[in-house]
Amino acid sequence: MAKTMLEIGIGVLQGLLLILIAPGLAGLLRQLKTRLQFRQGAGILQPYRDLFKLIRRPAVRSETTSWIFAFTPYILFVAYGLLAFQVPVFHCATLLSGDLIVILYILGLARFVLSLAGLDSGAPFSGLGSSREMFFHFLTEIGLMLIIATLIIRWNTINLAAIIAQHSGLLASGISGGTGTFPFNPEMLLLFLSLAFLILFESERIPIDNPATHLELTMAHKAVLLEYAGHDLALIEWAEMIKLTFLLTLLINLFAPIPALATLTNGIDLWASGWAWLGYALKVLGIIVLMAIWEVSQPKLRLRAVVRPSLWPVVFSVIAIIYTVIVKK
Amino acid sequence: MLTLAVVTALVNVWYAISSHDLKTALAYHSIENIGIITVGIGIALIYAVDTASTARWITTLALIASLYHLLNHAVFKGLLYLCTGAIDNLTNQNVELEKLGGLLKRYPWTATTFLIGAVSISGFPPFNGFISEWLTLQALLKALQSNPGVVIVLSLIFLVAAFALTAFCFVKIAGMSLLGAPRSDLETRAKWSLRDVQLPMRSMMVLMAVFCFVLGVIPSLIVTFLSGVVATIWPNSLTVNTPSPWGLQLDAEGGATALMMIPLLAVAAILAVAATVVVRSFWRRRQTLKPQIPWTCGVSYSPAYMQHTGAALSFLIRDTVGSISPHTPNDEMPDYLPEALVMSKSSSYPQIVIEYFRRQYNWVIDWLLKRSTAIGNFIQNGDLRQYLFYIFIANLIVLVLFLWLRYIHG
Repeated sequence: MAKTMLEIGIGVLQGLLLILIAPGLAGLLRQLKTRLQFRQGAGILQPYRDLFKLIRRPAVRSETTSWIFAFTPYILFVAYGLLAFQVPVFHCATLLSGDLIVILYILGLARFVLSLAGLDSGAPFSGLGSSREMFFHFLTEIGLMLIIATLIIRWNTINLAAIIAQHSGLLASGISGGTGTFPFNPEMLLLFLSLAFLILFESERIPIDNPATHLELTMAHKAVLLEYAGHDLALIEWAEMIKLTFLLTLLINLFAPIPALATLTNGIDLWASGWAWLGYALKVLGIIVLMAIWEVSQPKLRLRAVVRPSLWPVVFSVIAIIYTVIVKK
Repeated sequence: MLTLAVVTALVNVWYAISSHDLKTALAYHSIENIGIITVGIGIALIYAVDTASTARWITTLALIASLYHLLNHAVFKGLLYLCTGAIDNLTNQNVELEKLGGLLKRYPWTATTFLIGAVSISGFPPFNGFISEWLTLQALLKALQSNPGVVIVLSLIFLVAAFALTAFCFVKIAGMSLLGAPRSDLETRAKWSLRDVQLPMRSMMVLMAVFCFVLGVIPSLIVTFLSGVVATIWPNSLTVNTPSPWGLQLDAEGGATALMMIPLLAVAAILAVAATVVVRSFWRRRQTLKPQIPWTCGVSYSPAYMQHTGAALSFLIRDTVGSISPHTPNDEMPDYLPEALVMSKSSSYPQIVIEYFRRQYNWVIDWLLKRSTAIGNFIQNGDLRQYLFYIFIANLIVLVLFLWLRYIHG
């Protein structure tokens, strides 16, 4: 698995790109939401300004905390940063081989450490948040694993880049009518719905948790962060934005790799890269608009009511597995 | 075998979540890990009869995963029990979760190694539990890929649920016992040791923690070694991995799979340094602010009462899957059980876990006791006429016996 310098270069470029545009995407989402509510909004660049403001400030910590509370922002940033280097953005070459189980476990690690930090702060609300955080972890894990199971039956691999390369090749040949493949896979649509739902769970967006809330008792994810301040908070917020960007990139590139992502089969292809990059930008824009509309139009569910929607991804994935197995045989 | 294994894993992690004692929870986790180990053997048993190369590959991988987890379990559970012993010693025989807390500040060596063990057993990178869980999942997924079936899918769901609940449980265990402020009052804490354990105990814990890390970052060596072991117990085995210094590389039929730990760690280290540099360079005034009490909406803070408790932490999960809760309500508890097993009436969150079979056993004992008492009462009810009737019956039996003996011996 020795990677060439070119591959490493493209991988680093893509990862850094994701890490740097993450606050912008979060700002875009926020701005779209405020505009949909007929408010002025602070502008797309506001998260950058927030991060810049926070990162220059010293952090106040709770007097009960130990080293784990201080290290958690760094662990979160590293974990989500690692994810950014595993997903193809516009080119199939990634820095790290994106094994889906590894991705699942890195997401789990981040949540585990964050929950520990919540308990470490000794605050009543943080413990509440930790409990909810791990509860959501339990609810999402099964759905994500079933998606991976479907993907391995369908594409015979769980390497992210390999699946995306295969899928984009299939779609491209389907669109040009080459092998007569219909450019649409029902099982991939089901998985798309499933993953889209799980992303709401995983990034704790509106039907699960309201990221804009200021009421401590209803918080899940925010409650854990309640005791963080200054540069600690800046790192965590940035990490959360990277996570959201990663999940959205995963969603659109896994299920809609059109135009096809560039590969290294015949050297560096600037034309294909440019197209793929443009396509990526448009798709991200589209998904952010959809997400903003969704978040404006949906209420937050009660904590107990979350269990039932968490079963939908499982159902979708199981149907997708059955469909895939039937088609394969 | 596979079904039994995943059910064992899930049910025991469930009991572990509900238990409130460090040792009990770890004991349940031992059984759960045996379940995970047996998952590998179960997959191997399904595919061992098949001689196709895919099946041989899956069998080999499953056996390796099983052995790897066996090794890992020995290491991390050994570490966790060492730490628990140390905690037990330091806090004067007190390993109830709700009475610990704040140990990470007080006993940094014991608590840090315990945390490493907790991350390992929850199966998160870069520690050893992750590698064997990864291998087990790979074996299951490959089995699914070659021959999708209901049993495999259900096993996958159960196993992943068990993994997620293990993480939940260790957030609870580590969070309650090691983190936050101490949860017990000053009198109890007065009996706690002032210093961490001495060098010999400390060095052993650190050694085990280092093993956890080493087994997690150089899986290739171990898997190569275990391939040899598998070859001796199952001659049909294949060589599944290419030795690689960067991590684990499995050559599967239809797509190789790789787990590159070293690049992952290298990028992680670079990112960590980058984050530190960014924070340090922006941080203008380099003062450290005084630690403050946590936010409690303005009420004065008391750590013993205001922190989240273990029962409340696991409440969400226990309530969601409430119908199969291992807690027996008070009124269903047989009254001859030792008092320690019966929870206090006031507490709605009992501290004692009663397993399914133990509950059934209790029920059977209860039933037998009641029936035998009823029969006894019927026989010996104090009526003179009934006793005379017994004497008459006894005489009759002796008479019949006598006649019968005479008849035989003629």
